[in-house]
Amino acid sequence: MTKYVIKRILLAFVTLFIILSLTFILMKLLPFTKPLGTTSAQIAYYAKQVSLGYVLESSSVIDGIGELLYKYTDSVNMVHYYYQRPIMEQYGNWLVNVFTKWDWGVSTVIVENVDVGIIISTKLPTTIEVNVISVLISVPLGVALGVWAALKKNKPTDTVISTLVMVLISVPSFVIISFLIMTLGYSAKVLPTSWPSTRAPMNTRVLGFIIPVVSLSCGSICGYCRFTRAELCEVLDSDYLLLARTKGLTKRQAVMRHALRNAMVPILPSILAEIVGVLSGSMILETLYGIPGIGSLFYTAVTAKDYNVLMVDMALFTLIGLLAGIILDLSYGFLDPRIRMGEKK
Amino acid sequence: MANEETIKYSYTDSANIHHDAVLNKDMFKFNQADKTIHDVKLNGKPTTFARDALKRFSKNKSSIVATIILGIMVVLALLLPVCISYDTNTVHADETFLEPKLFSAGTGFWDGCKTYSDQTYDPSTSLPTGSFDANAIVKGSLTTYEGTTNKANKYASGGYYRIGDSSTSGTLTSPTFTYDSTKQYVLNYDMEVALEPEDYDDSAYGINLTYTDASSISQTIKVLADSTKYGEQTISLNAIIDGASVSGVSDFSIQYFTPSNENNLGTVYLKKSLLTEAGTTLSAVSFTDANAMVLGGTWSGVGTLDSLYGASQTSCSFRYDTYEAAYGKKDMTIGASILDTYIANGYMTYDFDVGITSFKILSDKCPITQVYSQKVTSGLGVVVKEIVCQVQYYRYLGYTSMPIHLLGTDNTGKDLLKYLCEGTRNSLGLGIIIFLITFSFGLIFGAIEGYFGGAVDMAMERLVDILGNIPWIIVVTLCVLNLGNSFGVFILAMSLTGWIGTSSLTRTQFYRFKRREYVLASRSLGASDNRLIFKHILPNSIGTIVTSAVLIIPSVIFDEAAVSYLGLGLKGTASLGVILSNNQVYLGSYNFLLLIPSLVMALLMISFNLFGNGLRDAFNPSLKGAD
Repeated sequence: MTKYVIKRILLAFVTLFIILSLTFILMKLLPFTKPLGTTSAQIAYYAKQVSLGYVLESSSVIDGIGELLYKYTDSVNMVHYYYQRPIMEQYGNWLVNVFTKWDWGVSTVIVENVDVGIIISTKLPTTIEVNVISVLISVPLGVALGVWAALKKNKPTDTVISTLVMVLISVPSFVIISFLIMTLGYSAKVLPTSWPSTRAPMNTRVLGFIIPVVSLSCGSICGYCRFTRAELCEVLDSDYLLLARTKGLTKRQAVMRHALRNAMVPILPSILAEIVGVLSGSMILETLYGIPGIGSLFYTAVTAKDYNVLMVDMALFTLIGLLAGIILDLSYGFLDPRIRMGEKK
Repeated sequence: MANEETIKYSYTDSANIHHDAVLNKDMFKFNQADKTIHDVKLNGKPTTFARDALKRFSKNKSSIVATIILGIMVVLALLLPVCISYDTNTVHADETFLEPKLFSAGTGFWDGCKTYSDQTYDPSTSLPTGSFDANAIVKGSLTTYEGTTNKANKYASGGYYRIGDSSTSGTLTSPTFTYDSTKQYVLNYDMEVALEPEDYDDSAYGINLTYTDASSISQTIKVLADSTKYGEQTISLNAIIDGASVSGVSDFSIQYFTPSNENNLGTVYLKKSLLTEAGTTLSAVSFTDANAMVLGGTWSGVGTLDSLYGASQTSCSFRYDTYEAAYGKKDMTIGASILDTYIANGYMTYDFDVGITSFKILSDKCPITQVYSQKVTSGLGVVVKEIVCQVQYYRYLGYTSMPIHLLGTDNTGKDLLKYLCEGTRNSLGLGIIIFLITFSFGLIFGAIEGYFGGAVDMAMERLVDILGNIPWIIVVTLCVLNLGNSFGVFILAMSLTGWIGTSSLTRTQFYRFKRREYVLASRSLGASDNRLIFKHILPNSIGTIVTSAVLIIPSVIFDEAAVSYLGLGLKGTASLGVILSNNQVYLGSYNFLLLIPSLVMALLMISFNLFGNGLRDAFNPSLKGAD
């Protein structure tokens, strides 16, 4: 087991490394985004790039080395030229910077010359807030609905729940959020039509959570409900449950002590994986509702062509995805000792 | 022997009476002793796997409905763009934002009319103010009521002036007045906060007295700084001005402002400001009617007409026929060159030398219905001939009758129905192409992995591990940023990692079937790998693989829409995602533009999922009901 865990984690790091390397190189192949802003801010940006080893500073024109990015004349009449280094050289320096100094670079457009890590960390709390609330609502509700549907299998209750789940799981979340903004925001005017700022009154801010949380939860409630129903239906048909009933347990006891516990084995890991996923947020929902989280940061970074921010945002998304995958796989083994992950035949 | 021929059997019945039964061999006869038994031809028809699946599929009602809906949508998406003649490639500036129309105007439902409310009412013309066409207002739909407005206009009164707003600090400065130190000056004002629920109730404001001193430098005396006293307030100014020991100047003005302090910035509202000099109101530097103050223009600030809040006015609501407004009769000026084409087409006659009496309509295709006057001007050696006339605008645009857009038009005047069908067609096309690519590649990849196993499998599985862990959004983002957002790039980007699902499933299926006895039997008979894969293993596993791979199509449509929302969508090609993301900004103003494409998207997704479930139940009956 330990060997398997170590293997999985190592593989995740190898994957992350390869993905980030590819991302870095592909990003560097894109046209260089020159920083906007004042001359002093630009000079500060290029100085930082020189110290990170991505840009070469020279006092004279050099031919055939790379794109000339910027030049300025300083107070003592010396001209500074900034050239882009070859991409593989930049890649080498990037590896050194990340591994030795944990320096991921600075933002060029979004907030000039601010460390990317700081930008991400200011955006993260909002994303986590929204997602945690969504998980807290969707997990119990989804599981409860699933249990209810399974216990009333093939009865009207089950049909209604299953049909609703089928419909809602098919409707994309951005359609749901648009619809909610349209009806509850613009027509009924009971909820804010976009994310209230931090200085808005408390009740407005609380109301501001409703639309994004509902549209985020909708999909996961349906997912959990469907999953729980399928698992529980299977367990309810099993022989050991029949045995439990013949032993004289009431239906309630049999379901609570035997069926649910076993049905939870595949459900719990996906809940754990989702808890890791709260960090990633939904890009589209955050963009549409104007939530200043790391999902909408991705959108902002793409449209503003702020590649350093985009790079780190992507790294974060990938890392979260990998972590969730590992947790999903490993927790199966922990929850049900019969499942030995990675075991040879 | 007797006991061979006779079997004696005795028993006692329930009433304790003894019975004997004697059975002789003669009593038994061979039924078919002289017949040879052959195999009887089966009465039922033999069925194939596919036919059996189809039978099961046709019993699933919801899947059948979904398939029919899907079929209708596909047919419509292919047919309608050909049938509808409206142009969706260029911008039609005159035909933007037409509402969906099926019935004639005034029906109240789906009639191409838009309901306007809270519009300023002009009692002199009995019409709403603004650029509304009087002919297009649906007769009898106009109702007036006492309402409020946030835009200063001459029909409104009262209200509040907004000083600053949630993002910028603001000031409002009165006209100047002359200060006479022998008289008493009292400032009486009414400041309010948080009139709207979204407002911050911790906002502050300040009041300054400004004047230009003897050496022409602007000076400021603070009356209040960062005050949060709201409601009606009275301040005596004498002590403040005297305390500042001002001499030799006279031009004072009162300045209200919101502090530019980051944490203390919001919307505060000034209802009135009265300055009294020895008990007499200085009307030039006072106002009690914010609407009149904004219109008067003697007070200076950063605000515009929109700085007004909650002024009372007679508002009106009405239904507005957008088709009449866009295509109805309009007065316009038409140049000689256009007239010449009309004359050449035989629509009308006109002679500039004779004048407007020479105008005669010859055909009902003629756009011009009435000529008011003609203008002949010459300058720089060029003679410009024009007529001012009334035009039936749809004819002017080249239509023979008033166009009807079933689902309305968007911000560029494109017919939404046609554009939506084109978008659906392209989205479906994208989905099907990507499905074909990823399915065939995934099938081959997974088959090789699963069939050969061992080191080949190990090596290929590592590739899958790495590729499968890259979030698709990152692949698409990188591809689009590097290669541009064309149809081909999308296919490439979505195919790059899209095949992994199919390949994993194929691999599992091959592992499941390759050790089966029938494969072994075939192998012992000397069957080649090719034959084993394509004749034995694949046909057994294809059902499961296809049914799950078919769901690639809706997921591609969904992903494409998601990417469009992130601003990386297709350029120059309509698709559901492009339409949805373009129309997102009209949420709240033209809801139908977002609502209709959303419904199409939702319907497409639901139908695809139900269809997929039906397929799975049909091909894999053991999974039935396990959603």
